[in-house]
Parts: sequence; C-alpha cells; structure tokens
Amino acid sequence: MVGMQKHLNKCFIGNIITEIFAISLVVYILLFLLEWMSPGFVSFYFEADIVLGILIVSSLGYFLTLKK
Amino acid sequence: MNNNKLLKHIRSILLIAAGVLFVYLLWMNFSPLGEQTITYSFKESPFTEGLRPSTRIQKIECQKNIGCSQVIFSDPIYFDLLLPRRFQSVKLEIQYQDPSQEEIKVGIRVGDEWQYFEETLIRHQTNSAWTTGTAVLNLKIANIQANKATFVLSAKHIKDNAETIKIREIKFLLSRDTYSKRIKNKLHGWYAKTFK
Repeated sequence: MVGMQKHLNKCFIGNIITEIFAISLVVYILLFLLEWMSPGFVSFYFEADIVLGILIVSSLGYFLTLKK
Repeated sequence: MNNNKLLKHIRSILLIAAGVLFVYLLWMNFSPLGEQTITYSFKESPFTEGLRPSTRIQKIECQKNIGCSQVIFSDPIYFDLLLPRRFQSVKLEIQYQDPSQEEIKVGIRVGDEWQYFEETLIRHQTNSAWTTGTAVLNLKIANIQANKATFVLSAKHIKDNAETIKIREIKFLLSRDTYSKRIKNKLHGWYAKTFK
C-alpha cells in the first residue's frame, strides 16, 4: 500500500514536471517567434532567459521521469 | 484534494501566468492608453546606449543608496532613444545637479545631422539635492531613423566657465492619442466630409 502511494506521488510529481515542461516550451517558442518577427517585442520588456531556464530544468526532470 | 484536481489547478495557474505574460507584452508594446515611460538611470537599457561623445563626459559612477550618475564637462551631449512604437510627443524629465543654475537646453533631431529643435529645460525645485528639469518635445517633427530618436543636451556655461553637470536620471514620458481618440477623430473627419 505504501509502495503504491509512493508510486502515485512519483507519477504526480512527474505529471507536474511534464506540465511545466510543455507550457514553458510553448511559451518559449511563442516568445522566440514574437522576438524574431518584431525585434524588441519581448526583449525590451521581459527576460526570456527566465523561461529558458525553467524549460531546461523541467526538461531534465521530464526526461528523467520518462526513463522510469 | 486528489492529485488530479491539484494537477488541474497547477495547470490553470501555469496557463494564467503565461497569459498574463503575453497580455503584459502586448500592453507594453501597443500602449493602449497612449502613454509609456522609459527611464534611463545609467544602467544597461535596451532603449538607449547612454550619453555621447565620450570626450565630453566622465565615466558612469555608481554608489550605494544614490544609484548611478554621470558627469558632463563639455557640451553638446547627445543621446538616442529607441522608440518601441510611434508616439506624438515626449516629455523629458532630467534629474541633475548644476551649481550654476544657468540655462540648459534639450532638443530633438529634426533634420539631417546637425538640425535640432531645442527647448529650455524648466527647473522644478525639489527637496533633494537633485534638480528636476522638464521639457516637452514634438516627435512629429523629429527625424526618426530606424525607430531611433536623437536628443541633444546643451549647456554653454559648462564649457565657458569650466563647470560640470551631474545627471542621475533621464525619464522619457512618451504620449500619443489613444485608439479611441483616433477612431473618434477619423469618424468626425468622415462625418464632416460626407454631411457638411
């Protein structure tokens, strides 16, 4: 029972990481496209590297949970 | 709360955060209220590269509590502003220290290289050691190249009397008609043409 609960929690954390990874990936691609189409649209007001950082960290988590 | 519900909440929070980010970017880029403020405090800015030429200014000094400032020892001084979109006018608010209290002018480039439209900086007394000077310049007559407006700051007394001016902040208050006002004006023009 305890083992099952642990497994569920692991799945749950994995799901959260997957959500963060998917949303940050979409957001970063959109920010990149906006900046590419109109230089300064994003970079003048927001540091897109923040999203890139979240994307890199969550992608590591995503691929680690994927392996298991 | 079960895990699925919690996951849904987390997803919603992430989507709302992403939505807020895009709304913020749209708001800043299109300025629907017709106003935008850009502040240059002698720190890295995507909108301006600071004062030039380097032969008339000292290096930027940064101090704790006070912030960064730059000393001018000769004139004229130039600086650019990258405009995120089209505006009609700009109000310059410059915070500076000038012991002589003599006239300082700011201008905007209106023609080729050396044609500038100048206005005298109006002083506003403040309680602090810094004076705030303001001037409104018309961007409609400005020569804007690649979204870049060029400004000049001239204070003849600093060169003549070997004095200096210390600047702490340059604030650009940009304004233009709001979308509703533009639509109203267009409708008014159309009505006047058609029915009068």
